[in-house]
Amino acid sequence: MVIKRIDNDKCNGCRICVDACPMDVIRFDEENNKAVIKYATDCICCYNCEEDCPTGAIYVDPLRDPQVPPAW
Amino acid sequence: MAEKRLKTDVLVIGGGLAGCFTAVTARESGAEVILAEKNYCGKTGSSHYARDIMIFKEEWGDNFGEWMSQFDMIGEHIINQEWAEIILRESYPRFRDLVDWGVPFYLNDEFGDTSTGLVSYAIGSPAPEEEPFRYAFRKTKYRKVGKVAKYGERHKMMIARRKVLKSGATIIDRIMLTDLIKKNGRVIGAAGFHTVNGDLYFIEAKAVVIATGCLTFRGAWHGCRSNAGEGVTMGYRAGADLSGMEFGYGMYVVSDCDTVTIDGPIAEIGAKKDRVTNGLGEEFMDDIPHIPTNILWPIEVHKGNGPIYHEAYGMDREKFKDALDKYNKTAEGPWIEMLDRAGLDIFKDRFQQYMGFVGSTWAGGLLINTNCETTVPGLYAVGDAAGTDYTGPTYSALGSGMCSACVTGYRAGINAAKFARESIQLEASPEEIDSLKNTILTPLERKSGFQPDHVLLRIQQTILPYEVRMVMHGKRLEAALTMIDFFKEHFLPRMQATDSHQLRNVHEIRSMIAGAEIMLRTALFRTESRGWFFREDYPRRDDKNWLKWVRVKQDEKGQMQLSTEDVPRKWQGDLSLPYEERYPLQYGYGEEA
Repeated sequence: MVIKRIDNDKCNGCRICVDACPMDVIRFDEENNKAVIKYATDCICCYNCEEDCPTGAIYVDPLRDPQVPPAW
Repeated sequence: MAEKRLKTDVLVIGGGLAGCFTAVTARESGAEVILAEKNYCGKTGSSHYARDIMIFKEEWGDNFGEWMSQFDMIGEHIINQEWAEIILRESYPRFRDLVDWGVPFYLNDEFGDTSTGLVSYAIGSPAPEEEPFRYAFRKTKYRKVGKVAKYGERHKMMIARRKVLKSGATIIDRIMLTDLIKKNGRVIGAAGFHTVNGDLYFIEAKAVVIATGCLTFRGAWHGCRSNAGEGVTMGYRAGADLSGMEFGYGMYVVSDCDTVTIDGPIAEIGAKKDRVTNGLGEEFMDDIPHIPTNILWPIEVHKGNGPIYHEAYGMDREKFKDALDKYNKTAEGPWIEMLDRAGLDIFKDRFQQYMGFVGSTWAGGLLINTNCETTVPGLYAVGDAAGTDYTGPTYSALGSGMCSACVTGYRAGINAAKFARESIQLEASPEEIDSLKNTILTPLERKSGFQPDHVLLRIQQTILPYEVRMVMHGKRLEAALTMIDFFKEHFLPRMQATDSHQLRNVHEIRSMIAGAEIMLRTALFRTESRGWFFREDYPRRDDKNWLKWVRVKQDEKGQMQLSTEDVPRKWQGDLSLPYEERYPLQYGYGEEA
């Protein structure tokens, strides 16, 4: 569900996804110079990170978790 | 954890398009400007996800009277026509500003051309048969009276960011401001924290501009899920009046694929044969020949005829994908891939959709005059956070939200800079600073308590279901209010933040609880139906009692005060007309069905 993975091999440490996230889900691991998923439950499935990632390292699943109560 | 003190002339809170416009204009008017954004300015707010901007220009053949009568008809005679006129007349100059900043726009006819151009788009009422445009899969055709330009660049807001920086304004990212600082009845700054490193921020300013967007509950539309309305609610707590908060809206969502709102693309570039059916397989949309799926779907489901299905068979997948890829460059996500990942084959199977409640509208928020001043000195509001009442209980035109963001931002920039020039900076007292620190940081100090995830879900369960704020009833509004009051009294003072990220969540929830209470109480107060505002217990428009705006404010004792202001007689339309003629946009509710 939500943001599933940032592929460590593909991540080039550019931090674009960190800035792109409007929910502060992604943080930067300075030691390893990689972006990491820190707060997945706040992911709103906007795909900014996946769309912006220049190396295609990110995969977002289209359903949120926890799920939002449906209207009916 | 450090404590930062900053000083500036104009503080802009929120870095979407309205905030960027304010910052640039205030800076160009000679003020020192700080723009504080809780995310990253350039990738935030609804603006990042918006696709269109409305443009009115008489030289292009737009007829002012026709536009206004459309706005008025859709807004059902309670729109603020002064604001509507300002937004129309200033739309083109602001559009030109965006072009000068370097924001590209698509030409409609040549999809893919990134030169500046116009889109013949649609607003309004049922249209003559010859009009070719169908919007959003509804069987209704629309009269084409105006133009909307489509952004030609997904990263348009990064262009706005660069413009802000070029103007000499300072941007501070990941700073969430939660509370206004007041002295002698005037707003003199704001306080908050850095959501990543937890540093406390106190920013003193001669004028503060709220540009934090609408107030939502992370519900249906991904574009405003980060907007928890902090600006609106901090303005409310500072004593400012709000207007139009009883009106809300919904967005269609593909069930099981929660971000995809595929309807626009299907209608614009996809299937010729798409249709929406109820659970019985009937095309109920044709029964009521007008706009709002917003309220039609929930009513259909409420009657026991759900769920709602969308059939869009007969589209060529590759062709559609090709068109969608171009379309996506304007704003949206990779929808086909998302549908694939969700296991939905919309080219073969019908799929379920629902209409999910989002939150406050484009025209509801902090009440402002035409200088964008709120009712508290030193405090301004722009964009979706501002209460201009220019649309009333519906949405007047595609792209009008972006347009009003630019127009109000520009006006606020000029006027806030002027206010700053003529004012002296007041210092916040040490007691005030201590009290704010306490308000902001207490959740971090708790060793136990209610977690943000839990409380957010409880709020969503209370306010998002269709029967609460879409098909409304006094009893259900009261019931929801009982729960929200409980959250306020019991959860809020016991919420725990384990780090600065969770502190952000706690303060968003604090805002959502205040916002939910405001939206429920104002909805209870308006005892009629109008536009998308549908009260099952009052299913008709009540022209005798409700050609009024609802205003809400917090008094000195912290109590919510509701009041009304009459819509000026000259804006009430022709009261002698029969009901059906006065309200040609029937919504299929209550006695009208």
